[in-house]
Amino acid sequence: MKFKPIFFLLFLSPLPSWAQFSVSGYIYDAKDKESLPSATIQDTTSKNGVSSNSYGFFSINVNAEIVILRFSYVGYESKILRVDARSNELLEIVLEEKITEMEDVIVSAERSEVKDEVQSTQMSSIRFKPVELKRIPSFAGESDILKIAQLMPGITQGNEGSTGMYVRGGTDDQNLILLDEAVVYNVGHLLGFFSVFNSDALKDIELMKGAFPAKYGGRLSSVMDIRMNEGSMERWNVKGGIGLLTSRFTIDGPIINNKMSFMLAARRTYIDKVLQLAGSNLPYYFYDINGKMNYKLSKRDRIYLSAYLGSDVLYANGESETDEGIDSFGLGFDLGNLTTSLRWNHVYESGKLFSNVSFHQTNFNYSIFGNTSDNSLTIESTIQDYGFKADWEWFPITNHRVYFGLGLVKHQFQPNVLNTSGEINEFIASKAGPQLQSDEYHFHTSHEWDLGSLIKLNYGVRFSGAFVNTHYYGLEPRFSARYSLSSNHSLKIGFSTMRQYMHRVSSGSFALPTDLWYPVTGNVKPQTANQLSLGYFGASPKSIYSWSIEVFSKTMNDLIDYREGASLIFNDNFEKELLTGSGKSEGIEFFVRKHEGIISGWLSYTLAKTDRYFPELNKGNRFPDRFDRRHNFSAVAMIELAPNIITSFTWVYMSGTKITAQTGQYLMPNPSLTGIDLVPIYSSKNGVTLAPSHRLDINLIIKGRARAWGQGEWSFSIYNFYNAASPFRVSIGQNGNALAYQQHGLFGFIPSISYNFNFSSK
Amino acid sequence: MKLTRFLFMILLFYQCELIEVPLEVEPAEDKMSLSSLLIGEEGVLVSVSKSFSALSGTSLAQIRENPIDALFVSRGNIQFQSNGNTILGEKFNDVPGFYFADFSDYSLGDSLEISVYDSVSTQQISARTKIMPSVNIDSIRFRYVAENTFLDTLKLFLTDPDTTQINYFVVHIYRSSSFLNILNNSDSLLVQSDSLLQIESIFSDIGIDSTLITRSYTIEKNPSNDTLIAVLSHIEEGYFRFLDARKRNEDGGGGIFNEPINFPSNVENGYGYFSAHNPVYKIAIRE
Repeated sequence: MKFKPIFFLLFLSPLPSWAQFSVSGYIYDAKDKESLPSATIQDTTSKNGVSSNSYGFFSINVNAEIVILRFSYVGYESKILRVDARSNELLEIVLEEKITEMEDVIVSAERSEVKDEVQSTQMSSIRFKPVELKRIPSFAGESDILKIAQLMPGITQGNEGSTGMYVRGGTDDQNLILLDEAVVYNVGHLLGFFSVFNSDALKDIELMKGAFPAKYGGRLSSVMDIRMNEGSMERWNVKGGIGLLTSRFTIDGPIINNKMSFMLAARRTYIDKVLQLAGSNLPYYFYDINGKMNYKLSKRDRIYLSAYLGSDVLYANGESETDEGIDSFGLGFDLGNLTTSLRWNHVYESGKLFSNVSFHQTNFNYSIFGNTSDNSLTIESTIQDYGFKADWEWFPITNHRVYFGLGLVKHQFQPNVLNTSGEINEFIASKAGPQLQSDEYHFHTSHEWDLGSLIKLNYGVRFSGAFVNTHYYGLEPRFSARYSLSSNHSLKIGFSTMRQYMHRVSSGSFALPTDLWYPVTGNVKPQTANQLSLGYFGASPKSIYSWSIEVFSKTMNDLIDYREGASLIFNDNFEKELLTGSGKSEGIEFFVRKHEGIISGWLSYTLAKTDRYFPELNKGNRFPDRFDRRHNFSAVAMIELAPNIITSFTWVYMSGTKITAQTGQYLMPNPSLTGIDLVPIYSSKNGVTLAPSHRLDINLIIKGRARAWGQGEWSFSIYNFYNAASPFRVSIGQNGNALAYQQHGLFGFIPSISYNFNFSSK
Repeated sequence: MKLTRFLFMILLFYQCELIEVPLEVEPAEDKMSLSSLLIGEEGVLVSVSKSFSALSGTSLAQIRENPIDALFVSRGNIQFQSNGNTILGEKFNDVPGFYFADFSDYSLGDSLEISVYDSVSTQQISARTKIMPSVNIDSIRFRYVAENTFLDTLKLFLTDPDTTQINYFVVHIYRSSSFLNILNNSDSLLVQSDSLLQIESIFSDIGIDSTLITRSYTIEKNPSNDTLIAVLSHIEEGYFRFLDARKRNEDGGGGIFNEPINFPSNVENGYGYFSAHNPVYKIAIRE
């Protein structure tokens, strides 16, 4: 199918022809000159408004030569400026941080920003700032953006404590997670109990569950676009934290004042050291390093270089007695991500066209090894991505915004490379493993059109494809619209088609280091999803409260599942184990937030149903998805007890996950006639529902006084305050004198303490 | 230092015992289960057992503590039908749950049906299977690899009985000749414990273009004069699927990292698999 440029040009009609001026520029934080994404810029006369993009760039079309513009952003003092629109100069607007008793509120909360959310066409979307997330109680005291996301409507937690996200009935590998535009494949440390994201290094996170803008694709269920801090252009900042399990340190500052800055953040856990102190031995640790450089080439050009390096490392060694004497041994694993991205922003002369060109690279690899003095075995797998992306935003005239762009990613997979030496080589021969390659590409275009005070449209299309040993491609239409009931209430509708050209092969219930991503093949087609969502959005007159009700329906095709008893670990022939089928998910989501005040927070409730159909599973009958949790409720509250004391609570309630449980058994002679088999009988697939999970987490923050060197705060948190088990699997075990089904939880009451600090040069 | 350690342990790892939550699971319907082996053309040996609760035990050792009548059907009425003949099954050497029918006086057709009635539970099950023609092992021999210290390779050759359709097989390779007792001595029910099972393998002729099927197996090397016996059965597809499910279950099915497997069955109102196949064997001696 040929991509026809004329199709793109149709987006431009109808366009009125009266003369207009354009005011464009960047909007920054006054102290550090960090850009402010999604800031609001409003023409106070016409009431037209726009938002800054993720780089802090804005462009607003006005009809008058002299205009009064209002600039606002959450937590900052608004600024009103008289601007000469005839000048073609790029503005640089700086906003001062607001000093309030409660300096952080949750999730995009300035009044104009709340109204913007109600009036935009974007729905099924959540934006949050990591600096605010630290107030929310966290697992083992480690603030985690993925676990925070699980408290939002439509997002189901996987197993307890894990970072897995199951969004509107999708699976965990259907989430696209971008860190400064580079894809992150493995987002969990320690089997997924901690995410790889150090919140000190992050600036802005947007999570989309539906109504996806055309520039995003490649996964069916969600997009999490994470931006790192850029580093202050004017002063040095140092912050960090020391906790029982991890410590963090971040430094940022100017390399050339107002021209070039950097940010460097590092985090390491010392579980190994702490356990050593407690008399145990588990030589495991993980670390993350985030780095970014930001260079202002000119007023119209900026260069960003970002990198992330993280790893999970286990290495145990020792000696053992054998018949031949003492033999040394070593075993362990090393798995990690390396992502880099180089981006160039350019504002064209007219001020109406903005481009972002980026080159990105992702490397995910793991290595599992074991050795003795005579033998060694190593298993390695690697995914390597090299990508290029170019996106443009065009602001031709008032009420119209056009986006277009393209991208190409080369994926190289080398799974299960096995190297053996010594006598073991006779039993397990070395092998290179398959080498797979997939070239994925896309083109996208969309048009945002404000028809007036009532209706706003955003429609577009993405055309994507992948070259493997065959060529897959398809159109992904996107559409969303807003009908304004009043300035504080709106109805929205969104539709999107998504295509996914790779999938993760997982063994059963747990995410493992050995889980690998594979591309589509001649036999395994791309997964597709169509999703329709409708919603009502509202805010109170002063925008202290906002709320939304959304219903969604999502159908998924060519989904992947595995034959019963599939063995996937180190199995290069896993394709034989794959089955394809379909899925359907429907639900309704309720969300209420209080943005300001001594008490702030939110309530979130989702009622949803998700099932699957695979002809070769469950005797061809539909069955519920494993994480089909019918009810999902979260309550988050932050309470300012005193100017320097904040306490917060999180209470979650989720219906139980679904499992396939053993319901009977029988004896029969085995086919070799060497004994008797005990043959299990199981329920229908995912036919048993575990008990609901519920949990209360508490956090207390006590801020120290501001001192010459900076400021510190103590944070005390308790995970699972009343020690309830959140069942994640069932086994049959002894209960008194009889056997009984036992539902196993993972984590009980876990207290933690940490000390956080920050200081800045003047 | 001890105090520090104590405090760290308290702070880090203090967890009250989690408040466990009971779970009610609807038990599987109690039914009979069936398995079978055709002994040459002389007859068929079947075992008829009963399904029971998953909470009766999780290992054979625990299960054995239950009364035998709770595990096996010891008073079953067994009938076989083939080619218009009806043959009654009899208890096999008074072993509970095992029945034997002598076919030596009958001419069997292509298929064999069985019906079982348990007078205690008044349940009835039935099944039908195709009688698969036996396929001979053309030859079996060791392949010597000088540099191998620990392993031997055994190669098995057979002729594809019908290249116009897919054929399925199961092979068992035992070490020592005591396995022959099961075939030569009808009093012997199970292979003797000194007949070590080396290989259990299922395979088909999918993807094999020639009439010659070759299978290679790696086995642990033994000192010279090693005797191995390969027992090959030509089986129907349904039984192949059953054995495949069994192997997957052995490899960890139902464990924490693998999906549970419900074994397929051709038994109406019951579990297990009724299969009629004629095993043939060949001996290989490594000197």
